[in-house]
Amino acid sequence: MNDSPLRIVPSKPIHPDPPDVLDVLDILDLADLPDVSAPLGDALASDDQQSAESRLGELTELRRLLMEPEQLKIGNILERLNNPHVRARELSRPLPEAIRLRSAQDDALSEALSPTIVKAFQNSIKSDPRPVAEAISPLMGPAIRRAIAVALSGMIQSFDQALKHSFSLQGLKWRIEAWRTGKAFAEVVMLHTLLYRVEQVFLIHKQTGLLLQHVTSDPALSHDADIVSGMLTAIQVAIGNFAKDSFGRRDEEQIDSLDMGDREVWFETGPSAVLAIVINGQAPETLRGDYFAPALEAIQVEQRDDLALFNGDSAAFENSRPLLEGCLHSQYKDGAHPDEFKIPAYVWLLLAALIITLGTWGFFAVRGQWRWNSYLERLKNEPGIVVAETGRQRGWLGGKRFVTGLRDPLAADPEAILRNETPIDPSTVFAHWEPYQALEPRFILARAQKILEPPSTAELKFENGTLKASGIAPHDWVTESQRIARVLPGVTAYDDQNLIDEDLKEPEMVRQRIQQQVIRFVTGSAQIAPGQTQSLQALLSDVQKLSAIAPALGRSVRIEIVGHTDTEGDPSLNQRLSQERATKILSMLTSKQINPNSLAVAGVGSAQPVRDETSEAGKQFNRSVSFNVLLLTPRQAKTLLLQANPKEGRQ
Amino acid sequence: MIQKKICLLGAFAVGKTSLVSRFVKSIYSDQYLTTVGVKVDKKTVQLGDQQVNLILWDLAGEDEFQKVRMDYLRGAAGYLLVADGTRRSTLDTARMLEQRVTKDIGPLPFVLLLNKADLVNEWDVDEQAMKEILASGWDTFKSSAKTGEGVEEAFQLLAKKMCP
Repeated sequence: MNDSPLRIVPSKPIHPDPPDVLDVLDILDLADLPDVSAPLGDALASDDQQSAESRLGELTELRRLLMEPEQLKIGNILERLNNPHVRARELSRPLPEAIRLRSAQDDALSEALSPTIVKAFQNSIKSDPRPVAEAISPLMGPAIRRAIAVALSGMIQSFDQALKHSFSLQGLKWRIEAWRTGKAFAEVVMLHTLLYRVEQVFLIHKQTGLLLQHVTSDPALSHDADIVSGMLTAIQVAIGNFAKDSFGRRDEEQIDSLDMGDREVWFETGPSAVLAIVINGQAPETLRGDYFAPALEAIQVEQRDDLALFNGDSAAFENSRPLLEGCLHSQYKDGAHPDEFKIPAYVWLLLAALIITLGTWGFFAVRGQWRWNSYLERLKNEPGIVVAETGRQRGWLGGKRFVTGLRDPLAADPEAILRNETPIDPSTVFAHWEPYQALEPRFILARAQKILEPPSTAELKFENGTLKASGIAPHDWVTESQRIARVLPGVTAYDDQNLIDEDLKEPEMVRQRIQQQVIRFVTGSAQIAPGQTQSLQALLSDVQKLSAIAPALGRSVRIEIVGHTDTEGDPSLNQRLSQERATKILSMLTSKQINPNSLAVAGVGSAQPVRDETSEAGKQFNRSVSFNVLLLTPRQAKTLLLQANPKEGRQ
Repeated sequence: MIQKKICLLGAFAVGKTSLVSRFVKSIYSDQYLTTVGVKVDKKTVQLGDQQVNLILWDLAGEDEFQKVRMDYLRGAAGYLLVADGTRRSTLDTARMLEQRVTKDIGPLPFVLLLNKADLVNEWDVDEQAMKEILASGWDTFKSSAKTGEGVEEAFQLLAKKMCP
């Protein structure tokens, strides 16, 4: 019985006290239980048969009540141990944890399982390789593609480097070409360097040919993508049919690409969707594995349900846009995208030198212009100079500056201003000035002074159009000035009343002496007051002298004899009396051979007193005759004659 | 916006292309029909609040030398069947095309257009034939490329049948 799995081992020591019924039963070998009933039956046989049977029934019931739960447990245990399915189920529960624990301890489990796993793998591939191929294809595809991409990338990089070093001046040449042809630099670079560019990618629902999503490298190409998508699908079907009809091509074989001159359309076909990729240039086939196939695979995995349930609403495929945009690749010959084209260092240096040169030139140009403008402003403000035209003569680097205009010969010298007042090099300036006569007062006066050349004793002034001469000057100058002054530009009148002819100096003194003479008369009479004989002789002498020298100087003498009275008496009588007094002197002079034509009389009564009548002496002086003496030029004489007697004057 | 692929089917020279040319947006010339055998255009239909873009595959007509390839109908949500009212035989061709579509592609919504309605004097489809068509439950419009009659209505009805 010790080998039997049914042996029940007591779980606790037997107590020294008498065990109760349950304890007794616990230590019994249950296999022997049927034997227990036998001695009980013999004992009962000796007793009353009925009571024995009754007690036997009670014991049996008691045994059942006591033993049944344990018997059920034992039955379950036997079932778990003897049924392999149940044992496997029981074992599966702790198995993963057990494997994990053991694998953590050592490699014994791996070593033990390896042969079995290898054998199982081999058997599986032998019987049906597809499940294994399907299981590992998602891993193998990208891994292979990545390995190829790394290899190609290294090759392309080295090729790029070679190109860069071989054509280091290429960028500059292209810039010159762009400048020469008028094209944008980026366009020239693209023309020379573009290997390929993925321009558009269409994600097309395979079954319907409807456009699910569309991306493009140039927004101008995005119009009517849904129609283009349909047409691409139609063409693909048409060519597929053609290939099938002509070459026996199978349905599952797909059209990979369409060649359309400088563009190609590549198709990447999946179970539910198709990528149509429009490429400008010659793209490497590796793009399929690197970008297009992974993108399509990802879309088909991520949007499997959207593709399966597609009913014409493409909104859900907005999510695929980033993946499609990742397909918009381009490649240039020297690895430089036009937008990222790096300008060589020497170009930067040249550019910097050019900027510095231009900056320096600009500074001097601005400063030169500023100085030139200041000079022109100075000329414009200079009287007698009129600036007509300024600029720069044609020539290399602009040529000389020039200024032309009018200049009064009396104005300041522009070249002197240029030389003395500005830092401008006179050799860089060409000037041409036409002479003209300025009509500004200062120029008229200056011109008169320059032309008339007045002696130091005479002075010229110009006021309101009249040139005025004063002081003393030789007779020739006086007469010449009278002739020239009136024809000077800007001079409308010539006034030399205050100019004394040097030759007329003595006559003038005589004239002044005559004018200072006052011949007094007796009160109320035309009789000369006594005591004036000397004055009368002096008067006569001066008049004779003046009459003698005036004609030699081209002058005629006009002496006005003015008779006066005091204020006493009747004014009309005084008027007549003054006239008589003047006539008295006139008679006296004519009697002494003085030309009566040079004499005139006037009686002014008391209207023009010789002196104020504040005293008797003043009254006495007003009872007199005074003289106004004029030394007239012929013209003045004529004018005066015309005023006095117009008819005679004209004759 | 919902897109639906529809096809334009009919016998040769029933006027399919001319019939829809005024109603669709087209970027390809009719030359595609003779070279590729199909020309794709677009027609936008307003169904209530919803716009439906009908991507219309205009298939080259069928005659004794050339059959319509059912490959082009794959994925179509419906089709317009065009027959020439002045040629009874084209109606038979339309019937035959409908049967082929149903057999190869499956039952699809479609609308029949009896074209050249402006040439009533030369009409070759009699009343009996019309009754038969109506009795068969086909949605039918008389249409004219010259007047534009029936075309817009056919597009509307087909769109409704495809987007119930």
